[in-house]
Amino acid sequence: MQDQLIPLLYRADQVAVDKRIPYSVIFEVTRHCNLDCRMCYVVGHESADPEELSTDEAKHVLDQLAQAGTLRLSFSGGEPFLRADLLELIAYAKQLAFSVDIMTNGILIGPETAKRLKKLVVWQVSISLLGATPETHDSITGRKGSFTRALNALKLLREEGVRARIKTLIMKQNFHEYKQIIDLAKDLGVPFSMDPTVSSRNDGDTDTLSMNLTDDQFKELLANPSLGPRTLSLNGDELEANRKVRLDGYLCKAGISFCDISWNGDVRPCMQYPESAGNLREDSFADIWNESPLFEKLRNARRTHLPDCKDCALLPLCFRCPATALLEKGDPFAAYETACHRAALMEEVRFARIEEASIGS
Amino acid sequence: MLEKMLNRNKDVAWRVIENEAILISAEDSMLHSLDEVGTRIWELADGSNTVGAIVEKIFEEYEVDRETAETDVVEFVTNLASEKLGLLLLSQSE
Repeated sequence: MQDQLIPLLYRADQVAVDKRIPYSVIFEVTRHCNLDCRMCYVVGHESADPEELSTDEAKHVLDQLAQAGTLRLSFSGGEPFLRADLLELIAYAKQLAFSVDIMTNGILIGPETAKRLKKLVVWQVSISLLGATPETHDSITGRKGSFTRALNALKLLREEGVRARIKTLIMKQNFHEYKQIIDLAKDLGVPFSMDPTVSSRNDGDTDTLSMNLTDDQFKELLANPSLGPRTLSLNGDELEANRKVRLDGYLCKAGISFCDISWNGDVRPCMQYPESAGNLREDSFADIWNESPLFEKLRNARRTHLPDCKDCALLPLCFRCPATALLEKGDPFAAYETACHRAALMEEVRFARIEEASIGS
Repeated sequence: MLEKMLNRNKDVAWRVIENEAILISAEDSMLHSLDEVGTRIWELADGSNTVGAIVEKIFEEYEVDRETAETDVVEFVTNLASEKLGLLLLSQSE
């Protein structure tokens, strides 16, 4: 009878994985963006897609997701606040008892919007910050003043008591400021996350990949104690034990307990995945989620099935991604250079840590 | 307590997955889960039932005596309506 008043994020997520419930969904409500970030993977973000879902269609999507068991819903884009009906959609999602978060560049969040978001009880607003100074951030976004407005949005949200977070894609163009971004987050009293992976554009163009960190930059980032993954602290035996456990695991949660819905109603495993499992103008969400051959293929895949990867000692350190593998090699289950190379760099960092610890002890 | 109406806090995000309610408290952004009986109470807390009426339903639907049902429901409601969590809201009966 007694409720269990402990954090159960992992357990709920595990239930969703076991039961194949789309527990977490990203809804990219528009491709339109008011910035022109150099590394953006959304092709055509200069304008809204004429095929964008209407307000009623978007609400119908939310009805179907609630029915399917989705609890965590992220509104994203493009820039989601460019949709005039975004607050209406958030209010509707709250009526359906979703936990709502928003991924935005913050440009359009003024005092009134911050107040509305507080009233709507959104779970979290993630603001993309691509530098710690206007010079760096604005040179990446292509719009002067965007840094000041993003920072202002973070402050307004904090003042209203809305949970805000800094989300940063770290690349060559802003690496020199990553420590300042951490300091800025501390000063503002908000959490931050840093992602060191620039993806191909969603039409397959790989011109963005040259913005990825150099090897030395990547290793420096990983060596920072507040940024590196937990696996970098494992010794050789622990790494091998972890490898054996991971062999039977899913490749990622895309299509298992997570999916992405595009502005035109396409349902995809994730935002990067270049193939659609179906379209919500043609089929119901339940039919696509339960019947799509693409989702079935991802659900049946385990690391032990990957011919190039199953015997690799670096498997626990590898962040291989089916979407990137498909974009880079034309096969979601193939090994691909970026992942292999970065896993080797991570092993160097791990090894250096262990050496350092043994010298210190 | 028994004559008060029981309402879910509308700011709480929730779903029932395999007879288990998963809740996200807006206050502390923590995830909570309820067992089967807790989940049933949560579903009944739609503003149309008093705590007393919910005790009766739990008594009818589960193999417990009335006294146990009342003690457990009141304890559960008190916990979830505590100031910090505020998952459930109590109001006077109409």
